[in-house]
Amino acid sequence: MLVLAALLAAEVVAVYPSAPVLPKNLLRFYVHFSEPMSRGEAWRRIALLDESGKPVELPFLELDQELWDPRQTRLTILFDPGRIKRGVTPKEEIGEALETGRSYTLVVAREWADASGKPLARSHEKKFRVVDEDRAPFDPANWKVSSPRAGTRETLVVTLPEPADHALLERLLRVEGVTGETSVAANETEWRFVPPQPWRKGEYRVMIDTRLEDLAGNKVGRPFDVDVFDRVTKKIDAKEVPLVFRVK
Amino acid sequence: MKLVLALAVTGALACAEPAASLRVGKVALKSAGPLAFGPEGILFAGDSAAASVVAIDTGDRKAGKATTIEVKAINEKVAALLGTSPDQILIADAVVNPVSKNVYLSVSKGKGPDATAHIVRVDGAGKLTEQSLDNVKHASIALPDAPSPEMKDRRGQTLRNESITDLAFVDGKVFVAGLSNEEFSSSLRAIPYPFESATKAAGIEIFHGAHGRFETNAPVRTFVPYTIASKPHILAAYTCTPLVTIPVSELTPGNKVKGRTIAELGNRNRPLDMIVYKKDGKDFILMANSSRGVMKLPAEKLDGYEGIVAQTEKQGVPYETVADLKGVQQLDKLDDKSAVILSDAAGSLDLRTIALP
Repeated sequence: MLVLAALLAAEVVAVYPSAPVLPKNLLRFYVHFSEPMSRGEAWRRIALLDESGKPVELPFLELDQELWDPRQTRLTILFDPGRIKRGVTPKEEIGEALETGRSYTLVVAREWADASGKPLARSHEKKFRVVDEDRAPFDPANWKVSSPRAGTRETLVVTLPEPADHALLERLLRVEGVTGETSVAANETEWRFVPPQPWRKGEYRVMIDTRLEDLAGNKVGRPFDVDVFDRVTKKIDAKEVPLVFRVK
Repeated sequence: MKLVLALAVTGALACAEPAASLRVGKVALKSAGPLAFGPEGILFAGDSAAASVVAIDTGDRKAGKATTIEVKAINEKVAALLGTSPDQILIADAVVNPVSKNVYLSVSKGKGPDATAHIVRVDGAGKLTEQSLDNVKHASIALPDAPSPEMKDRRGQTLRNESITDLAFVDGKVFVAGLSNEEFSSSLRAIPYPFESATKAAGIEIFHGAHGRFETNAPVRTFVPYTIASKPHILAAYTCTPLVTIPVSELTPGNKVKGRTIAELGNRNRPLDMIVYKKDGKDFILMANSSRGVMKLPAEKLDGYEGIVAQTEKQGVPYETVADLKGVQQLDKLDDKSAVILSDAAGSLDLRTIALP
């Protein structure tokens, strides 16, 4: 198997967010590869094209320290925060990278070398349309949670009104006191949980880490950028907020 | 960058011998990122892959004088030294040992997840040697927010990682700026040296209150210690380019700190490295940038600038662009008159000495 894996060319297996419609102030993409990749060439291999196929000028924060996971199979691409944040100079001068109502394509070039130096099997494209910016923090009061039946291992489904960041949704939700299998579905608007043992009657809590972000970096109870002249009507200092559900 | 303040040296010496807490053995350096010199030839290296900072006693304590270093195609020479091809070499940082004036490079041999970390020393004559990591006095400390086992995804993989973007030794502490590959937030940690326990190195939350009404918890990209009005400060450049001053006294674990923006350095640009120096009795900041070249800013009376609170282009501390410095990726002060730069101007990665402008 190892020999076979070494012979196969790497490819892009997923790009998140997976939704085809994304907010103008989108903060990041994750690109997942089937094999470990090479460092040092990401910014030459990724392009964001507009409707006419023209590259958008410097949309991303081109960090020399490319943000890989330890295995180098997932790259995090941050949009230049200066072009997202309200009132920041670059946004005022050259505008935002993404414009409402327009369509774009994120292109991953085939020439990108994997860790062994071989190019990808094929290039990869992610097309998406842009809608208005999202400045609203997450409010778990608007989330729905299913009520699995006692004595079963029915999947618990937490449904969000808008997509969450893929990596954070997978990592920052848990069911208090139960370790189970989690997954993310429906364009990152669903968090699913299967308990190892059948559910028991009673009250459970899904604990939501307040560092969870939506696609624009708004957290639970705190938007990406805080308007300091806004009256603070709701302040969440807790590290986790609970979402209660009943098993009947 | 990474100056050692006189204050910092005396502070550390007052506590303990800088090398006394170190143990002889093999340094488990998984990746070589930003470097900074502490007192007496102690080199700090940020290891993002291991989520730790390592202190290495280089033993390089013989006082030296600044020379004119010029090593063309340094990546080729480093490759030859480490027995690989130049395309397999990535140089993450270059710093000067303020005592010996030798230059230290953090080098990755290989580009995949199995790449190995190396520290290479360049002496005043341009000769390269590898710093042994096998049998040296060292200590390491894990960053408190290191990914924990429960952060594994359902395939048992840990995907979260935090890149150490910069290090500096100030006032007896190693300051570590980090950038996560998941959540977007500022993490600047102060770790007392000699290393004790990681729990004492809790994170500091910094709000970047640059633009009047709006604040973000944006990550610090590069920073340098600097004294303003007799008080130690950190001059920090953020991912969204403003230059901000933060008093070191406010950088205590768990504290929420708001930086004061003193300059807007324009768009389409990333700050890469900074140093502070004195010329003709006046202090200056020299800052390497991704696309706006090397900027020189007067550092006099930085406390005299009003914090920038309105949407603006290039306001606050004025700057001039140093025209003959192109493609500078790293810079560090060599002595009062010169600096060492790592630059890639015409397809050749060179290490050389420049006169401070």
